[in-house]
Amino acid sequence: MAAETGTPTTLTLKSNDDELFSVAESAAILSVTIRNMVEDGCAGGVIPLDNVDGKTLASVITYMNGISAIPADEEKKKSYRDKFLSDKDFETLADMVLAANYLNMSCLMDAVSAKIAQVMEKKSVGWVRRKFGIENDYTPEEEAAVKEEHKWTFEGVETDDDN
Amino acid sequence: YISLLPDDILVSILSRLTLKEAAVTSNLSRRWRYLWTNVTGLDFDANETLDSIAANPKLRSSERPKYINWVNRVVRQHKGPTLNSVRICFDLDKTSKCAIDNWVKFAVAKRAQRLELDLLENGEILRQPMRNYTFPYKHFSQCKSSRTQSSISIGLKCLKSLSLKCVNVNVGFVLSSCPALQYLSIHGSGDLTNVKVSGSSLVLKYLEIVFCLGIDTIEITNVNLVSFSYLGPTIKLIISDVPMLDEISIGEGYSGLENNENIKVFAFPEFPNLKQLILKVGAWDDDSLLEFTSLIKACPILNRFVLQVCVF
Repeated sequence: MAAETGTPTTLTLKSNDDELFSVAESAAILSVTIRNMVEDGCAGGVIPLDNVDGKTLASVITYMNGISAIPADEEKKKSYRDKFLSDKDFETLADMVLAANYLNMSCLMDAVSAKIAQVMEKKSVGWVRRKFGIENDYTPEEEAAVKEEHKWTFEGVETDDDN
Repeated sequence: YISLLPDDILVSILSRLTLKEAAVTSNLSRRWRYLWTNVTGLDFDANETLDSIAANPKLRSSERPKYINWVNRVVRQHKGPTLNSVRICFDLDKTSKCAIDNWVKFAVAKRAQRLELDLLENGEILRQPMRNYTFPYKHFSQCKSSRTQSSISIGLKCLKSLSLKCVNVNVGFVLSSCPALQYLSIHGSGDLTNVKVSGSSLVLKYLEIVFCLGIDTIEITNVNLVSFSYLGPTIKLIISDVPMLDEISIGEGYSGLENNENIKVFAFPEFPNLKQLILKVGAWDDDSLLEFTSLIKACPILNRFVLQVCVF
């Protein structure tokens, strides 16, 4: 056991494009998916991660190492996460959120989801469509119906029976 | 691009937006039309409207039905199997009981872990308890056979955090029907007289009771409570055998500014582990504060004692 010998256990992770990465077990088990494999004794050799490419995995490992080096201090962890995500473009964020989901890393999943949501905040429908390449496949009638459905934001009156 | 992401991830992203913004995404395309109805948190925030009601109370009667209508529509449309949190925040009283009962049942049936009902008048002041909405515990304890009933009793077991402002509620009922409850905050309930928090099976860690004017006694014994705070008129307080307790905040008075006429230390229990004590006292003319020195005797390992005095 790592704790007994004093030397940290290292795991080898393999991306879906066959890149190999070494990472301390203590950092890697931030991923529940990896932790389960370790606990089931399936982590002896190389751990294949079929849904993550090398570029994204490298980034996730940087995050794992960074966040696990911070002692239990939510403030510091949060500011590390913010800094870590600050220079990522949208494509990278999308790859990260997929990886975080697959690896079952809730803290990274939450942070990246929030970051992507931030981009959409207070933006018009047209802006979001253009920014994210979303094709408007509504017919004009449907689109009007959806708009009508969402007029509810503080409109129309429904009285309470109990009154 | 974003359309390559699976639905559950998009829902996770939408859950980070405000409820109104999440709903607006239904305009994007067919795929997005109902995605937002799966969000895991429903925060019915209407701060701006509350501000305008505070400035012009006449607006209350026209804004209330709009708010109720909004919540009702979202509740009807919500498709996600479960919810993490539901927050209702509007100037509502017992005249809206029917609607609020349904929202509480909805939240509980969706196994929400956090539920907040903040029904303060104008979003900022307590109302007379007799006008308060009453927590629907009678609903919850009746007709045990029906299917809704069983989903509700399972749902109550999932509740971890409950915050109620201007809601008449009984602590005993809450603690006995919500065994997973860790955080309980009650402001302005008129239903509390003798509050008893006791039993090692409770997982309650944080308890806050603010301006519940009918309280006579609060008794906290044999629980793993970590933090307790009380603000309100003088009561009988019994705290014993609460080994994990490391934060206590107690304020006397009828509101944040007004204080009791006689400064009197109520039965202050012994705190063998207390390290820091901050006391804020409002005093009149020549009131003596010497009585507070006895508090120090009750805290043998106290290393910091701060006395803040506001003299009127």
